[in-house]
Amino acid sequence: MRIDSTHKPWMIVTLAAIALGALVYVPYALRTPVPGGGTGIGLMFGSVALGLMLFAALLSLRKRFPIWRIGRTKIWMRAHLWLGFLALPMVLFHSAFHARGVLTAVLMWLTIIVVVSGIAGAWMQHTLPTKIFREVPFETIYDQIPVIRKQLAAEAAVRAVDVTQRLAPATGPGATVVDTLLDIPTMEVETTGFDKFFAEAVTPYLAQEGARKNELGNREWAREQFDNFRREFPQPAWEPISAIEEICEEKRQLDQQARLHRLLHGWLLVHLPFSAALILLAVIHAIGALSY
Amino acid sequence: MSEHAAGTHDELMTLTVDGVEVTVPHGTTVFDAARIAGITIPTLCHQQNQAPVAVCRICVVDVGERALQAACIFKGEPGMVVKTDTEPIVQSRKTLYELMLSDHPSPCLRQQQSGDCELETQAAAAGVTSTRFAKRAVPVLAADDTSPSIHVDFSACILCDRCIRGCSEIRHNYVIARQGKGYFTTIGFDDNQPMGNSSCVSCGECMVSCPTGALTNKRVLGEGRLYPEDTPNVYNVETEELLALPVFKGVSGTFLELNTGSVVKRTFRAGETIVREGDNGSTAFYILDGEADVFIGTPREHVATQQAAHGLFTKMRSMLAPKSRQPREEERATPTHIRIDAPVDLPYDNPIAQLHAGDLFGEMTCMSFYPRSATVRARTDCVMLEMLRNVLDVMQKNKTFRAQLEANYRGRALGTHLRSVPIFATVSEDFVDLLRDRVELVRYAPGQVICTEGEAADAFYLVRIGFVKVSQRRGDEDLVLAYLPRGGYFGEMGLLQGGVRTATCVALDHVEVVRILAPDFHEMLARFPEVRAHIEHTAEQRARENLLHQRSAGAHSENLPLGQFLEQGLMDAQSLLVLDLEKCTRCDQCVKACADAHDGVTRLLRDGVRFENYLVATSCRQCRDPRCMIGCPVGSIRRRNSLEVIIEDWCVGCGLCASNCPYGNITVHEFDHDGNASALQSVQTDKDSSNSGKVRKATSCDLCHDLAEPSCVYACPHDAAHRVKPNEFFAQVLGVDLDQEAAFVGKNR
Repeated sequence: MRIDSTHKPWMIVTLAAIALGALVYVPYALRTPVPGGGTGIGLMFGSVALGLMLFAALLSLRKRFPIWRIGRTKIWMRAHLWLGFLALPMVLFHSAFHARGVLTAVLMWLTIIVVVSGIAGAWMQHTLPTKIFREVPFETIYDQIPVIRKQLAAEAAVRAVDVTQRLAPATGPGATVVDTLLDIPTMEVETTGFDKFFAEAVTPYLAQEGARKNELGNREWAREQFDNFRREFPQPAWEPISAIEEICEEKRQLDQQARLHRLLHGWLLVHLPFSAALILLAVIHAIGALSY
Repeated sequence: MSEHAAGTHDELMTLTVDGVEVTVPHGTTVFDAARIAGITIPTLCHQQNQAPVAVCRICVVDVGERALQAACIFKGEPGMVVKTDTEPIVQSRKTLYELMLSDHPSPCLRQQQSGDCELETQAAAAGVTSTRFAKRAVPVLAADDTSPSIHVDFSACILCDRCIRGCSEIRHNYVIARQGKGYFTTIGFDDNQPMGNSSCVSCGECMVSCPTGALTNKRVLGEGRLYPEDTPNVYNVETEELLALPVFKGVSGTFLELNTGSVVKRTFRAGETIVREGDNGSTAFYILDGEADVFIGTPREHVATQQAAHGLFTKMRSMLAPKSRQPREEERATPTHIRIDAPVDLPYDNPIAQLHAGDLFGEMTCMSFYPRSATVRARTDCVMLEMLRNVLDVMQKNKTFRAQLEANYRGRALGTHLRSVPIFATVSEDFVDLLRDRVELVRYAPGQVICTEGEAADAFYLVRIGFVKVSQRRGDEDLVLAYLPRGGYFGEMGLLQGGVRTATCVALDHVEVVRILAPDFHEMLARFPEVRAHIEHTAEQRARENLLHQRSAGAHSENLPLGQFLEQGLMDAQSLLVLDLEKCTRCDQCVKACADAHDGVTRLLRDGVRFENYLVATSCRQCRDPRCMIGCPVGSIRRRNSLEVIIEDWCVGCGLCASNCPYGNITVHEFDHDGNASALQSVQTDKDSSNSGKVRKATSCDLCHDLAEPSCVYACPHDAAHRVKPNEFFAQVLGVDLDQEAAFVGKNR
């Protein structure tokens, strides 16, 4: 989600609401000896804050039933974003910037954590999609990454065999009569070196998710290694060597995609449980405060 | 050239071949002159009934020229002295034999079976039993065993071109040609298809022409039978027995002899299933005795957007989610009949009919390898002939057989067929009777043009079997307007509007049409004003659709800088689901919404080609050229008047449309079916699983056409998913002024 010019009306309304709230709060706070949640104005701010939190929580329900025609989900998302943000100043106005008690202190901190995590999430949703698009041209569906990785490993194994086959074109598939007349060097040392590199570096790299410790994770190092092999081997072997290099690059990008995807969605592991706790405690606080 | 060389064929000339004088007409080749003189010149590529090509060079002779000349093509001249067996000639032949044998799998199949491979026998006669040259180092194509009657061994082919000339010059089938180049040249069938998948009709001419074991009769090899020996209730039919049947009168006994095993007699007990809808097949059936039921057992169900509102909660939910219905005024009426590959159509409300002795079914499956369109079950004990395409093709060209089929069709099916076409629904029975004898049943081979845009319109056509492509010329490319299946019709616009064809219609596969000539057509319009009104309405609709097509095509002409766009085939689309990758958080809400809206099965994949920062999701593109529609055995995938492609509820789940879609946008899924009561229960047995349990249906994006906005777009939380018209959307992305481009195109049309 990009926070672009289409969010402007929401931003204006939110800022206006904060400004209005401030206009109400400041005189009230100056006139009242102990401003707090129990006063009329305080209760009003508290009700508004709770209402905004409950509305924000409805987004989960809205997403749970995506085909219900009760307003486009993107509108609900924008409302969640801006009205959810508005809940924080409303809470601060309600509490008069004080937390008098354990429950209220917890609520204050929960509100701050939820709003801050939400802002962080919004920021990540604003920036990371573009980062993924730019840095991961080989992007695939996240759930398919393990499947693609296996396919890459299988393909690389076939290409590795091609490297040695291309060195003996007279015996390999596609051999031509002309090639049979040439004297082809066996290149045992180079072939052994390549096989060792493939077995010890490429295969473990492709098999393992992430594999950060593997040197092939470093693009520059990988390029250098493959360039060396291209220098050592004759021209017919360059194509499969380059193909293996491309496979490693694809794997590198899929690792990057997985990392960015976890970031893009991982913040919800903070936001959601804290939001649930906030709603629950806020309701308890409201019932308790009104009853007693 | 000597002064006498330029003579006419009426004049004679005398030349000497190996010391023997021979007088022959002018223009006679040295080969023929030698033959007349009783001297045999060996050759491998030349046959008497074919035009000489001189590729093998075995027949080279000394005619006194600087170089040896190929006798089969070199014309004799008066006074010429020809020597056919000098030492250089003998050595030249031997070397040629050695070279050819180095590529030949000696002994080849023909040599093994009948000992008469011309290459090996000629080489042996010349004293060449081995070769100095190394064996073939180049991998050759694997043997092709797909033809029912001919085995192809590419390694034995010497590229003499005899099969090519036999197929083209003698049989005029034009199936075989050379493909590849240099050392990798081989013969190929059609556009390099396996022989069994090509338009080869197994006439056997190539096999008879082949001098080696490259093309061999499978019967000789002990293969080519429809069923293994001892298959129960399958009986071989001797040629004499077949020729005794009236429908085989006039069919070549030699052909039947060569193709023994390609037609068998089968018996079925009452209640036995003969073929099942959706199954693949390659045979047709001719009923000799008995009756059979033909029906579609797959329940007619839509895999559609959830509409049901059962129960309080669901009803409340449906109140929260009101459907925005947009009545489509131009919507075609629900069809009255379902087209199948048989001489009858099935009524939509109760899709069952009967087949009798003399009926042929499974033609489209046999000729074009489409899936079976319906289930056929023996109503009484039946005896049938089951045949492969090579036999059916010959039968269809046989006058007696055709006459019987046509008589059956005219007597039993034509009226139903006419009535099943909406424009003829109100035509009286006496007019149908009038048409019955006047209409022509005309067959067209794949690729054959039925009518051409711009030529005079002289007939109206109904498609009886096969698929017809309707296209218009747009600049220097063809714009496909429609694919018409059985029951479709065309030609009315040309007859109504100035008598000139407005489109080109081409047979996509083996097509048979009912042709109603212009005078009969106009008489029908005059006698039945409501038919005229319907046809004129349809013609207007088609004109509007065509204009829409043309405008859409014009807006994205080759003048727009859309190279990448064109390469990805996106211009064929009318509607694309694009995801803005800079907004999309990969949350898959679109996929979830689609699945929720369609029985838990998504119709889109969040993967596909990319254009700038947009991902074109794998979801139906509502193509201008909907290749998915080709071959549907029951015509259930079609285009609405609003141009979107939909799959109707009588889909039998064969999966052909999914195979045809070049973008992978159609999938076949199994869904639960609760076994609604049906009139078909009387013909369905307990073993028939189609009435309960699982049902297979093809699914593709239908744009949630009964909702105001597609579910995927509606559910996207980040404003990343959009359904767009590609030409407008991407022109905007590229900053191209569409109006300016359209004006440029219009000016240069």
